[in-house]
Amino acid sequence: MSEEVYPINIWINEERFEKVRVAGLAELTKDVLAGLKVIQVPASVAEKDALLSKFPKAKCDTATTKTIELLPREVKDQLLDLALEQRNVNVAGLFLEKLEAKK
Amino acid sequence: MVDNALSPHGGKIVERVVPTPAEKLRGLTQVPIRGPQARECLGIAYGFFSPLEGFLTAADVDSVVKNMTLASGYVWSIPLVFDLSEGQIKEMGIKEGGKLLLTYQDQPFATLDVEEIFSYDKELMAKNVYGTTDPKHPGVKRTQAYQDKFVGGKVTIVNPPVINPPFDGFWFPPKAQRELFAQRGWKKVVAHQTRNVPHAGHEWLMKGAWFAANADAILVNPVIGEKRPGDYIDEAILLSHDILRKAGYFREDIHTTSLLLWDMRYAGPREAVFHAIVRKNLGCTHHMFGRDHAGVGTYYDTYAAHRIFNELPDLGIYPVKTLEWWYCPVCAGIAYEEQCAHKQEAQRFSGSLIRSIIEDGVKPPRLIFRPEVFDLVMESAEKYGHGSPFVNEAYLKRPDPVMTIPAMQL
Repeated sequence: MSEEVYPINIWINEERFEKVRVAGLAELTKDVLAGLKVIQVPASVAEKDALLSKFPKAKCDTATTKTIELLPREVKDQLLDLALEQRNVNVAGLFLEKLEAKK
Repeated sequence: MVDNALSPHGGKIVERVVPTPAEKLRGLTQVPIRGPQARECLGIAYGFFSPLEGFLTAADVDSVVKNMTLASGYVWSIPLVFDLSEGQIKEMGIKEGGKLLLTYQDQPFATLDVEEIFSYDKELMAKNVYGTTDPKHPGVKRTQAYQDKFVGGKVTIVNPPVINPPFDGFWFPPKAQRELFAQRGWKKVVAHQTRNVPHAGHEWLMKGAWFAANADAILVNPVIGEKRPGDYIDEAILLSHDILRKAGYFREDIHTTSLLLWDMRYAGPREAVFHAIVRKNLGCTHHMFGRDHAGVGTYYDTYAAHRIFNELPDLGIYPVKTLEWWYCPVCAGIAYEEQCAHKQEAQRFSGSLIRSIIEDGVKPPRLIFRPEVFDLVMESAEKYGHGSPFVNEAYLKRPDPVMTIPAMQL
């Protein structure tokens, strides 16, 4: 049985869209909710728990979307930068490692 | 055997608001109260919580906890208690048969007749009311934080508060709310419980319930009470629901908004019953219940708040039970779970998801979140929220914005 995955939704505002466009990684974005663009960074159960404990205002919407929402905007900007740098959305673990290293 | 179908609950609206001159209040033992207790006093005295006339006595608490009824037999799901420590009771010489003067904002506010002083098993209260004793549950946390003694007895507002703008335009206690319904000729009104700024899911939940109930009108009745960081600010919630009508998404003659002062317990099914009774007292005949009504985390099954009504007698308010509304890219619009067969393609959204979009500086598409609502939320952020539509430390520190207790010299 595969482990559950909880996507972090990084909603694409104009500033973020410009970064994605310049990096030539528009394929990382998906269109959801009537044309809204999002990049989804998957998080494992352990990564979800670590993020929720480090950022208490964040929330895992267990009832409806099964996504991690309300991470601070700067955290999402950092996740996006990492995804563009790695040209891959699987960067939740790397983000947490970097956060740990900053301590 | 009581008739739980009577509307208002118990057959009459409780009204215990008696403006009283200072000289009649002098000499009473003064007990300062906090915002949640002040809101409960108003709920009782203005009849929102009819048939309650005061804070519960031991027999009522025990019956509510164990049977979900008052000792009289009327269905009641959430114990409303007034707690004090044993030390406070001794220090202030509080005795059964006495009368307390409850002060709020340092002003005389209400009296509490000390009919009974008692203790109760808080663990049992939490387990039965919330279905858990996990201290992470906000209702359990509240229960565990109660002092060790409870004072039961009647409450009377002696110095009625002034309700401040913008809340004053939404202050309709049961008698006034019923008068408004009568003036407009609304006989069938379906209530919408909310603590959120409305997105399209809420809008369609309301529209669907209006159809299902064949209702004359919708009463949007946001809960205004204790806030947590990250919640929408109260002003944004109230005003954004009203803007849905002002912007024409609902006709003027089928929609109104009023507020309920209440601190959410997140008691899931039991809170759903409480909401139904309060909205019946406001004159509603139907109440909509969506998914995970009044829930938190994963403590309750998604539709526990639907099923609880099957186990209760007729409450005189009909539960309109609805499933999920989602965005369907195939239908190219908001669709209902029981009608749309594109479940695989469905894109679900929630209040948290919309908050997350706004927090990221993105304006959601109009199909999902009305532009008038978005603009109103941003205006409210500037006007009331210290620049944020979400509760922050500065917002939490401000004095009670809803009411001001007039100065009274004792």
